[in-house]
Amino acid sequence: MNADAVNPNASAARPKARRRLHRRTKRVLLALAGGTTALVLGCVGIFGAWLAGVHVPIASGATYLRVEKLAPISTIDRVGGAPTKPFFILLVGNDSRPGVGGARGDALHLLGVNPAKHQATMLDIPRDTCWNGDKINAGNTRGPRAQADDVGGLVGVQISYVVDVDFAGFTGLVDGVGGVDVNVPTQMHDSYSGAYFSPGLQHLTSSQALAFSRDRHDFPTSDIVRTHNQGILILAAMRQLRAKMQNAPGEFKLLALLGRHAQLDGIGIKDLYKLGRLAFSLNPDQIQNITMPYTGGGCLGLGAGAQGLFADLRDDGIVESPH
Amino acid sequence: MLCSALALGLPLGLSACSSGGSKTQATTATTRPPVLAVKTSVLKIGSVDVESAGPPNVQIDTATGKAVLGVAQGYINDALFAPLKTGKVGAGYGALFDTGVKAAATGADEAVLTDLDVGRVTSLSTRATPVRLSALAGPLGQLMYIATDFQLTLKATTAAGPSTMTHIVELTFAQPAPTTKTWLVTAYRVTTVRKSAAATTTTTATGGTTP
Repeated sequence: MNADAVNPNASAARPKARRRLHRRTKRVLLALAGGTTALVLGCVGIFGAWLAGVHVPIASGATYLRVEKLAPISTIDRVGGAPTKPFFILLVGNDSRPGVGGARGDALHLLGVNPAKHQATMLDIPRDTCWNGDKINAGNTRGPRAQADDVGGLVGVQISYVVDVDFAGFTGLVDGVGGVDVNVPTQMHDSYSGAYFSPGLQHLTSSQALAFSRDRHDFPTSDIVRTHNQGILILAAMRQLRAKMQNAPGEFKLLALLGRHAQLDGIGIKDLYKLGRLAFSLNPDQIQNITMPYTGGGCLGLGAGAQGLFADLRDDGIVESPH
Repeated sequence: MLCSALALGLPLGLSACSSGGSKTQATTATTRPPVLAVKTSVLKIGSVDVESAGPPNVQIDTATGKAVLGVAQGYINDALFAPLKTGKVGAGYGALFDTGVKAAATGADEAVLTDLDVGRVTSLSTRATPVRLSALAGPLGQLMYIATDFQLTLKATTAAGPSTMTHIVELTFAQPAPTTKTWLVTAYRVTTVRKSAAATTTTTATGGTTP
């Protein structure tokens, strides 16, 4: 006895069930095909955007700074695994903040590193320096790479890395490392920047560090002293970070902070690790902080000795001649 | 749990009775002092700390921890125990380092990283602190660097008398390629203090500063 004999409707119902199953299978297959196509298109789109130069930041939190690798370090001779040729890093503090667009490079510091000698020199470039008929800080409005091209062109060096930070990023970074100890060189009392400091060593919070680095109204030479003070702040931060980077856990903590809050372009965590190991093998107390000689007002020209200074920096990444 | 698994899984290092020669050679006089007593250490994990550039709560899996601790053990076997036992660094010493630091580790820094300069000893006892493991995870949570920190104290009797060597060792490991499971030393900070009746010397070597 079969089922059809028990239920005469069963034979009529079977083709219907088969059709329903067929339709359901078709819908699932269509959905799968659609999903796969969307996934492929998405991947192709991301890859295409990457090829076109659109780089997706890997930062998983607020982006404090941008680090871009501009030129390979392959030009460096390697003897016994150690580089012997100098390279240059441009540190840019841009003025982008709520209400102020454009991201001009108001703080420009060129760090020359000589790995073989384990020495470095920091050259502070006044933002009002004339370059190609404009102030040099305008270069950053076209991006950090353009800013590096301008500074590199002025000094006559190829810049390998550029680190760009805005106001919010700067304060975020200083907070991230727990403030910075700075030896304030002179009295500061400036309502524009909010810098109110007595001379001497003191611990600055992020907003105090920002005020210290922005104060120019206290000084007759305005931005010239300011750019030098920024150099002092950078070296103070390096000194502090170096103390924390004396062991692997300290290094990893800082790298994790950078990984979460830096937009990395052409450079990865491994590059940062190696670069950090090298940078913090330098003694900040032995890094010269030199402000570029200038002349004139408004759009500044190169002062006496500037070309000689550039040549001294160019040949081995450090300045040996007295300044 | 992890510590136990790692400790159990590790090779025991140098054996205290590995010479194998038990025959008495009555007719041959030797000027080489026999190894009277050698007691070496097996590294064990102490604390573990992972920093992450990406997702939180990344952990070091047992296999990776075991692999890294194995290389660290290989280091103390080949760089520190072997020279004191045989007068030479272990055959595997150079292979512990990646290309970035190998030249320095087997060249300029070898005198700090190894006990080759001490020479053969007639007795040896060692003590190692638990190994502090720290790691950096990348943006996707992948382990990129793992560092081992420990201190090893060796008390030995040399031809010149009793000697104590203290090694403060930080080895940082990375994988030469993401697809491999091998971990090699990519950076190091090693401080060596050698104390004898004649003098105390402290030397430090730092490797892995190539961008």
